[in-house]
Amino acid sequence: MLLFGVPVLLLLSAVGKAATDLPATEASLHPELGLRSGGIPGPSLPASPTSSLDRFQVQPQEEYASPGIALARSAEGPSATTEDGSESHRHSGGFQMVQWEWSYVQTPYIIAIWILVASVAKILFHFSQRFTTVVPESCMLILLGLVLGGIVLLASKKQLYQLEPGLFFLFLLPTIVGDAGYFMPARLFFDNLGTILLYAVVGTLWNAFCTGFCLYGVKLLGIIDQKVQAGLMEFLLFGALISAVDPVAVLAVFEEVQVNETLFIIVFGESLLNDAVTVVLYKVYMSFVEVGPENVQTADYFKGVASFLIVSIGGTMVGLIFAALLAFITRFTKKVRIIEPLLVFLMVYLAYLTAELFSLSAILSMTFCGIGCNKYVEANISQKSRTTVKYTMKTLASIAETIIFIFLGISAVDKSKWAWDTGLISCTLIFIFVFRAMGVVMQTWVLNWFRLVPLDKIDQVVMSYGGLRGAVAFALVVLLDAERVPAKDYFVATTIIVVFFTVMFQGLTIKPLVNWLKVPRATNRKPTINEEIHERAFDHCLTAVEDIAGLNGYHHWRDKWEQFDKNYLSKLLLRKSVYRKSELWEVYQKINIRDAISVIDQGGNVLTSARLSLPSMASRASFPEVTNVTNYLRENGSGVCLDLQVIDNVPGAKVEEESETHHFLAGNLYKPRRRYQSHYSRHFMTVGDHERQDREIFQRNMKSRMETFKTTRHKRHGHKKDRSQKKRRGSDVKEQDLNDKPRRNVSWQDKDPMVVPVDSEDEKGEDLEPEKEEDIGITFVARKVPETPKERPKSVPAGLEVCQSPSVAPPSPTCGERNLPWKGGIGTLPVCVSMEATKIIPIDLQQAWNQSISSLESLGSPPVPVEPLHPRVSALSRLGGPRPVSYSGSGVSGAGSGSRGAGGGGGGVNSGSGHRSV
Amino acid sequence: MGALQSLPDEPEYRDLSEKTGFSFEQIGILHKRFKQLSHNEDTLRRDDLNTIPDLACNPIRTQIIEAFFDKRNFHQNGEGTVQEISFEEFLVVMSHFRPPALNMTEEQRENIRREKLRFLFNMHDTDNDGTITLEEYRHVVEELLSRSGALGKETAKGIADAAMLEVASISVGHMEPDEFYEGITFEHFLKILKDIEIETRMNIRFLNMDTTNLCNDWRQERPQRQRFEWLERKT
Repeated sequence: MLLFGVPVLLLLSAVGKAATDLPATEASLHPELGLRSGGIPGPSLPASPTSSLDRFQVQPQEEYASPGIALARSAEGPSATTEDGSESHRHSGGFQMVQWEWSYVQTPYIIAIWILVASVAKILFHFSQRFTTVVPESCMLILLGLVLGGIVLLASKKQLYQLEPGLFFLFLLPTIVGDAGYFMPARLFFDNLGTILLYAVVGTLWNAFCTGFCLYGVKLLGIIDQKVQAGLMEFLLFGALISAVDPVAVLAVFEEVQVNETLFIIVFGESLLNDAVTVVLYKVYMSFVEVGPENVQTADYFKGVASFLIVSIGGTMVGLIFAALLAFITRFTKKVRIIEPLLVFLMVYLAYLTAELFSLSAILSMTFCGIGCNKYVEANISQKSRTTVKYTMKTLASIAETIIFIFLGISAVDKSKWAWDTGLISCTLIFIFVFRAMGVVMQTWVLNWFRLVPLDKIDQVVMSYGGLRGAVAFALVVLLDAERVPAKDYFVATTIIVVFFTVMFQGLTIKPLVNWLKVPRATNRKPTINEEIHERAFDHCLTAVEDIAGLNGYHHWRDKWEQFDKNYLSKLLLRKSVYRKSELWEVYQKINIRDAISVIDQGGNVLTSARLSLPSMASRASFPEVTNVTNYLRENGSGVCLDLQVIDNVPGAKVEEESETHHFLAGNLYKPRRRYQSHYSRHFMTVGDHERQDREIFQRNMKSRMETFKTTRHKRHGHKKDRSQKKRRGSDVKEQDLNDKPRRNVSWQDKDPMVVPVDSEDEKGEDLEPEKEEDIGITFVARKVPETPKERPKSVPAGLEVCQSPSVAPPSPTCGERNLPWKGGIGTLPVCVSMEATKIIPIDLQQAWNQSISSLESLGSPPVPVEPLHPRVSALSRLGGPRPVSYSGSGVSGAGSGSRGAGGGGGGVNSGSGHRSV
Repeated sequence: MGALQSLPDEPEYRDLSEKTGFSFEQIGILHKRFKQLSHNEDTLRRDDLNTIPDLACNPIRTQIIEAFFDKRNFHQNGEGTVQEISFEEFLVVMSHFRPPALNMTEEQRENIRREKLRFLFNMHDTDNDGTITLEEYRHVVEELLSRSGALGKETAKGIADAAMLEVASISVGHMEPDEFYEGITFEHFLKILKDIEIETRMNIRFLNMDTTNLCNDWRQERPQRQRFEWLERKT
């Protein structure tokens, strides 16, 4: 990577000379910034640490001539004299065939190169598995930054690039915070909100004051050099900016450590929410430093408190307003799916900028915007948009993080900004560590009186140790005005050392520490259906008991909120179609999709129809249409994803099996008929893709159902059906005989509805819902239906009726048959009717069905001779042939065979097709 | 207010406290609540619980209420249900939701876990035969989804079936075609929920202090006569 980086940097440094005047520009801006921050509260305060807008309000004037690249340049900075160069170049001679237009593209080029460097760095780090498990990425990036910085310094004798507050606060930080907020596990966050708030507010205040005062005391004692010209106010200011735990650093380090969710959310939540405290403290002290400590009046302190309330609550409100707005807008994007992701980014970013505009806490605003809108937006936007949002956010955040750490490293190389004082640095390090630990212990002691799940010693150690400082502190200290704060250079140096120490030393050691302390780790797995059901049951259970006990506790209020949300908010913010389903939709759809995936996997892989195992890369490559579903699942399956950056964590254990599946499927299943369609419209995604996928799956389902149909319909197969139905009735009778004993068999009837009612359900839903979403996971199977001419619309309710009373009539197959023939006969799907369908192994749930049929038959009559279609088939079907079948048992066999793995799947499928071919 | 008046003797409280682990204050508060609910009777009936307004929108209301009248939850070896419960039984049922002590051994933790899960299991296993059958499970899911109206029933069935399958595949694993899954036994129940830290989650904070405003909403919804009754008690 360095090989890559060096020429780039040399290239940059050659051009960068032009930009050497930038620091001067910057410096000239600061007085103004300082001046304006005279008043304390109120929106007229531009000197908020996160509101470094000033720089950019002024810059455009310098860059007047080149508005086209003004934005890009504001991100990168060093290019104030671009225009002159290119002008002279262009007019130097006559017509030139090839022109060197470097200065024209310079700024975006540099940005792009930086991002490329960052990405390549990331890739390279992850080459060595062993290395990355030991060394956190953030450490490596900082080291890399140091190296790059050294190179630039050598090349140009002047540090050209460093982490500028403007760049940081306006572009890099929002991407990370936006990602964190949007994907914040909301339930976990609110469950621990009290704890988080205490740490964020009291803890930060405590740290800030103690560090400030103690540094001042140490200064008085003479341990800090006299050259550090700082009074109490300066030290308090420094304490304020150095004491806040940094979200970027915490995220970077804790992500790799993977501690349990509660611990993570407490530390991370604190790092996000303490922003308001930091902003206010910083502003207040800045203004105190301005006017001089002797002029500070008592009223100012109260103003400070008021300011805190305004900044924090205001920021939160701005965030929530934007969240509501965003959710509301996404209600109406049905026709223009393509802009959905953009809307999400825009609104979340606008929430940040708006908060900055009024010098409220932008981080709070963005966080709450993300948390607030997530539920509704995710429900409103399409599947593709969801994926896009997710990937883009993760990409941006990951790149921003990389850049931040590299820049931190680079900035540290610049000697001109430094002034080293060992006393100050060592004292600061000691103080922040000691006070962090003390604060955590004391607050936890208080908290444990109230917390249901107390935080134990180990948690406290990790929390103290996880108090990482990062780029926010650095950006704040760089923002300081050197004229007002003479000790700025010392503070900068100290901050850099503190950041490096916490990120590198603590970041490096926290993993061994966590291992050593045996801190419970996060389990990054998807909740099972049962867990989901029972979690829901718990919640209601707890609420109910609270109500009975007459306690208006947390669950009581949560339940109240949910009621409110359901009755009003969701109604307003969710699409009608989504709203109607919202209660059960997630669960339901999730299960549908799990089913569908397992159905697809049944082709020979994992048969567990309920317990989901995600197809890993191999099978995804072989199934273009699964990708959507898998993505959907991965996105929605997890309630909590600690790993805010890592998107997919597919357990790829069964690679071999997968590849076997692949071959098996490739050999035996349909070939996707790809139709390459060019996309002409920029505004509408062509539905070709979905259509193909839809059609594939739909056809497959239809085929399999047609099989069922045929077996009944065509006389030569009909007898089997009759027999099986008779059998079924017989078993029903049997069952009624056993009625004194409650039915507790998972019978095939109980299984089969998983297919059929699902359909009818969707049809029903579809009838109610005219809105058509073109890409929504696997449900398209049913969604396809209403589009087609309804030749016998009446039959839908009929089918439904039958379905709903499974114990009365032989329901599910009949239902399927009634519905399906006409479905199958729909003109667009000619394949379904053709006889070659028989040769295609249905991989629908029909496997279960077939198996149960065959087993039923074997109960009443000698097993139907199976004509093997496939050598493997015969073996397997023979295996399952003469089994002692109980009516109810066979049902489970289809489903239960889920655990049988590849062979079983093939067997099930094949035995089904085998019997059909008789 | 009425707390003092309705306080039983000290020894009785001590007894209850030992049995259930609640503090005296908590017992006092719960006792007051008990009196409120039972309209100052010694025993509580289903109807008393059914009329709690906050409970009205709880989808699994009936199951919870049943749990209070289920002998299995009384720490005795009885079975079946009763028509009315005394304060002691009320407390015992409540104590299932008591947060565990701060320092527990692994064994204690496991016991508490089992106990809490047993409570949940009993709640779902309505016929008390040691397994949650598919019917029962469907019923649970149905109730959970009951807020969503007509759409719920079919869906609930599908979900319950899928969930049942999942249990089967998790707990039994390899299943021969002729096997069938009877239902969730308690062991399986433990197994499928092994990843949920129930011992730290199925807790309710029982307050040590009196929060008088609790009764407000209750009072509003009472019929006139009962309100008078209550006021009389109060004075």
